[in-house]
Amino acid sequence: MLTPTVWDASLFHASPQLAVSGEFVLRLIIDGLMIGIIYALMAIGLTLIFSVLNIVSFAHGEFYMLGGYIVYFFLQTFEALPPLLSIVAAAIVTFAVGFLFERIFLQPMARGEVERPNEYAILVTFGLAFFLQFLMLGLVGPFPKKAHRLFDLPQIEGTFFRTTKATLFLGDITISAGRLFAALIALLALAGLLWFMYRTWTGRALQAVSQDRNAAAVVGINPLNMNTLAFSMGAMLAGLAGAVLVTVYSWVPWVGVPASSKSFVIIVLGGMGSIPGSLLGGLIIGVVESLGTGLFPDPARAQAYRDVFGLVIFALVLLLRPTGLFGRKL
Amino acid sequence: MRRSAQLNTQYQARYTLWGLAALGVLILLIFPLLFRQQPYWLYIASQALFYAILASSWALLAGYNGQFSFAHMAFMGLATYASGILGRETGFLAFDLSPWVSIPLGVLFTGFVGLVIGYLCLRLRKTYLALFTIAFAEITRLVIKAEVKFTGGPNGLPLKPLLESTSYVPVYYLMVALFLGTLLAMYVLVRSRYGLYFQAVREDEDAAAALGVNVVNTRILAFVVSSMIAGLAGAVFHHFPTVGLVVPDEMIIGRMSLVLAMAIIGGSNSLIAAALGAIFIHFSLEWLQEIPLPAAILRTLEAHRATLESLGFGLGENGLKTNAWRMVGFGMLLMVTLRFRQNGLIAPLLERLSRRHVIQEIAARRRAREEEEIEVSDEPNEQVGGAS
Amino acid sequence: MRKSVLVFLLTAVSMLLLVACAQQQQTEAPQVVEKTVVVTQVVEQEKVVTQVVEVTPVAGRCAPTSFDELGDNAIKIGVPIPLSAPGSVTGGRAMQTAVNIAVKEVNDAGGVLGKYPVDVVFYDTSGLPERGTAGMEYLITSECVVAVVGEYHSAAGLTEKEVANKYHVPVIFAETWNDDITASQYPEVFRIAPASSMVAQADAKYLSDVGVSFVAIVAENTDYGVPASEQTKERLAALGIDSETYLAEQGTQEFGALIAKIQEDMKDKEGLKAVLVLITGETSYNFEQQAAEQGLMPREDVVGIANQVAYNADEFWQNVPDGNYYAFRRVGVVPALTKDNPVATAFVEAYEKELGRFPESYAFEAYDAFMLMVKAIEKANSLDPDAIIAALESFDSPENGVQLAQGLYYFPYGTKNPVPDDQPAWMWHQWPDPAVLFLQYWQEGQSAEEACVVWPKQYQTCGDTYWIPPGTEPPVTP
Repeated sequence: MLTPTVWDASLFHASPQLAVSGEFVLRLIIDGLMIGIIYALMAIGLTLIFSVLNIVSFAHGEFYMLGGYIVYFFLQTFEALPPLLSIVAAAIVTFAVGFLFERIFLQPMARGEVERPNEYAILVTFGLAFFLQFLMLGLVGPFPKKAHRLFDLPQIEGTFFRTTKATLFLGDITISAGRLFAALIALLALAGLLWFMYRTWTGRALQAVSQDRNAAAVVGINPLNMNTLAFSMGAMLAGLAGAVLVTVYSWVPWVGVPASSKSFVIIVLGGMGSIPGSLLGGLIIGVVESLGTGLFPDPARAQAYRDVFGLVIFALVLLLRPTGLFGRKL
Repeated sequence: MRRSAQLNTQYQARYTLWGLAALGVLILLIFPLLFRQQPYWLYIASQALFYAILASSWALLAGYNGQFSFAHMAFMGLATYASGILGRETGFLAFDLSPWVSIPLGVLFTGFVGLVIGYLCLRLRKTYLALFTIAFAEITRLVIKAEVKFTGGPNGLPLKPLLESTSYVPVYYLMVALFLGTLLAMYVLVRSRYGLYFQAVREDEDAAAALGVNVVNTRILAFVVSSMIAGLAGAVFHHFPTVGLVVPDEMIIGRMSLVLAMAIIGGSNSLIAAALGAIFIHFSLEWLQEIPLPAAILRTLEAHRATLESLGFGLGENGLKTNAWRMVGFGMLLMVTLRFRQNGLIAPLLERLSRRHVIQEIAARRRAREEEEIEVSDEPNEQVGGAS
Repeated sequence: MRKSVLVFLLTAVSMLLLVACAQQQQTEAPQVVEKTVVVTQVVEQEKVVTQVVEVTPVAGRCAPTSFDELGDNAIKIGVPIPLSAPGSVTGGRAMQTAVNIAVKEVNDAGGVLGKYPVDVVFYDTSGLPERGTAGMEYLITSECVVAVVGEYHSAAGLTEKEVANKYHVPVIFAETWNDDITASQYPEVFRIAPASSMVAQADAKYLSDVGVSFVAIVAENTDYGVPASEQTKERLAALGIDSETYLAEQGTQEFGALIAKIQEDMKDKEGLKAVLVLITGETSYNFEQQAAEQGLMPREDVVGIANQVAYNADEFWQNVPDGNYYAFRRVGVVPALTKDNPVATAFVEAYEKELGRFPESYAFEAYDAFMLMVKAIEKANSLDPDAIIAALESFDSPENGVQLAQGLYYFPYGTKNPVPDDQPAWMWHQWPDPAVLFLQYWQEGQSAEEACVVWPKQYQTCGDTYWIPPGTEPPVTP
């Protein structure tokens, strides 16, 4: 169905001159990398959940949505407090919501009180997503919101390097300050996470549980507590991604839907359960989408097919190499 | 003497079941008479039956066979689009077919796509299958949306009317026939050998294979049958003269989640419970748009109108408008059902009604055994113990 | 034994069916009698008879056809609007608020003709065709509405007009732009929103007046964006302006790559260029803010035309903080044009009290559609659909028109005056004069009232300029 029209109409007629400047490509790559880091932050949360609990959370995008709204309302309510605190608040709240949900709805699964746990996990997280979306729609309404910029850039005038309030210009390359800031915070969070996972006892305990639950239990790690910790941290990472992006994008109750499908694509590409895989997967998807949109010959369909490209890669990886780039064996 | 008593309990149970089934069918048949002056409720009933077919065919796949698909709505849409494209008068692949021809062709096409997808999905289990089918559903929807020239794009594809009359009575009865027909077909299927294969594969694929079940064929069969039924329901429903249009947004995951929740709340282990769940939820969501309240309460609420409206509620002439909140409650119900009533809310009821005879039967048998003093051998248990 | 049970049940069911069918025939007969009773009652009052006799009773339709039949009940008017996804909840909510204001206003004045109160019934269509059908069925056959106004989405509107036609219920569409809504020329269907061809024409004319040589059309991939972009492209071509269409999925957040692509495509184009945003809702804000951040527009050489939702100044500045010097289309009136219109000022005041902002065009249209229907019922002095339709058709010229919040409503073409060959078919029952204006912000955080009206010439508020280049002030500051 896809083949006849795509091939005959677009690929050959649309743009006869395919001269692409190096600067243009560089710009697309930088753009893709900045977004890719935030994708990665979200996807790592999902990966963490998958590696420890062995489930995919379908409510991941809704934690992202929640994180954004918390920053927005924090900035609206507490104008006197330092704005960076709002991000901390978002992290705390999403962590808490994740904690409660895990304790009430997922814990019974780990304790073996639920028949057919795989399906239960899919459905109950799906139910949470449904619930949170409509809850926010009821509470906040459908009108788009956006948190104000946390700070303005100083104005610098130069020939090669110059800035406006919101943008850095490097020659022909433009970098949005909000996005750069979001990417930096995401990097910080990632560094913190990696430090936690590889350098602290709890982090190593999480890894141990993800590798072998029984062995971990033998050495005195309570797998149930690790489940709760992993789910809450995963939710918090999604919340953080939302918290840094609410200054960049407009926020509505259903922003989480595309965000979570993007995370699915990334964790499958990177290999389910692999943190380095998700990091790399996030960056790859960020860059591929950016380059795909920028270089797709038919402008009318370039953006419309953006999500299709990601999904096709996703379906192919699932079918041909379900372990992804770094995944362990199924 | 004893044997006839046993038969009696069996017949009693059959009576209950048949009686219930007959009552259900009867309600379906006389429904139009109760709402003759309100075609709207007839239309809602046909819509509810459409969802009931989707939910029960999804239950066949997920509940009986353990294949967790999010692509059900996509198959529904594919059949509808295929039928619409074959039936249109101009354009690519237009053959100007009558809906009576194009619908079966569309359903066959869907069956073929289901075959391919089912085959591709063989390696995937549970979570992976769920993710893959989400991707498939989204790709289908986005491609249909983007290929404006071929599918009508976001404007939708107009469909030829299946019936001349625009009254809802024939539409409704056609839907009832379709519902009963598909339900019967699925029932026959799950009561046959294949039904047992389905469940065996669901519980343990390797064990089923060891017992000689062809796992590949069983899984594909379930996938094809359920997607064809979804496609049939979709194509017939959208060909009705008063709908006559299909848009890609009907295939969004949000609508799929509705079907899924209907089946779960009803009970996805039972075809009829899933169908009843769909009918129940469709009607209650419709009814909950405005909850009728007594005038006294409404007057009290009137004082808080501003607060209510800022929270997304509304006040109507006769009741409270729930807007987004009915969906919040619905999501809550879904989660609570999953957590505390895994078999759904309707399936256990049906179970209890149909199991009553089993309890009696077992009691009768036990009594018979005690009378005849047959010794039960303990050997198998010992063997199991030794093996481990 | 089992067989006999089955046989028994089968016969029982078939008996019941027979009884049911028989009952249906039986009960239908008195129904007809009932109708004749009504007619004979009316025959006594000679005047009304000629109107009532024309009524062909449609099964299922239950609305009263005269004030006598109404009794003590309120006159019910149905309003199908989207209140849940995938429909535009933003649009639906705004229209709901506007209609509620209209209802309150009518009832505070004692009701229709000063004595018959009106009641409104909303139905959530989600913007889906099948829900549109369900909604109209519900409103007409279950709520017994006399007339219908509303709808935001064309996809739902297209099936709603079929049901309206089936039951012969007059409907005024408020915000469905699709040409086909009126092009099918049903006697029941009227529209006060512009047809999308009209808007496309205005966009093209404005861009040509500004003097651009190339237009990048960024449209959403929906039933609104796709036809709108095609029509605009066509009309731009007719005016000799080159254009390129970029489609984006509704709900997209990230536009970085698309913006870079547009910048790259525009590099080698000479002269003044423009970017026209045909995306609605939060997606349009995302695109506009990112385009401003990345320096695509508005610039000295790139005219940036934001989507019409930019008119919500508070929301616009919150979501597009760097959006200074964006121009945007406004369908319908602006505050400057409502000052001398008492209907509009009252409505604007009530709406601002409810939602804290100047009404969007669809809010104006929802209010006006409702009020126009009330005016038609008053003029018809009857609830009979034919009489109401005749009344609406009698508003056939500006002199016979009805002045409401947004303008002077009239429908030049209809059953008495068919659409001539040189006019497009969608001119049927179509209000020909929706005001299509272009405004431009020129100071950060400016309210919509302070924005300059730059097109068309007769409405300009900031001197003779179609476009204020970024960094400059308009020739005249109001």
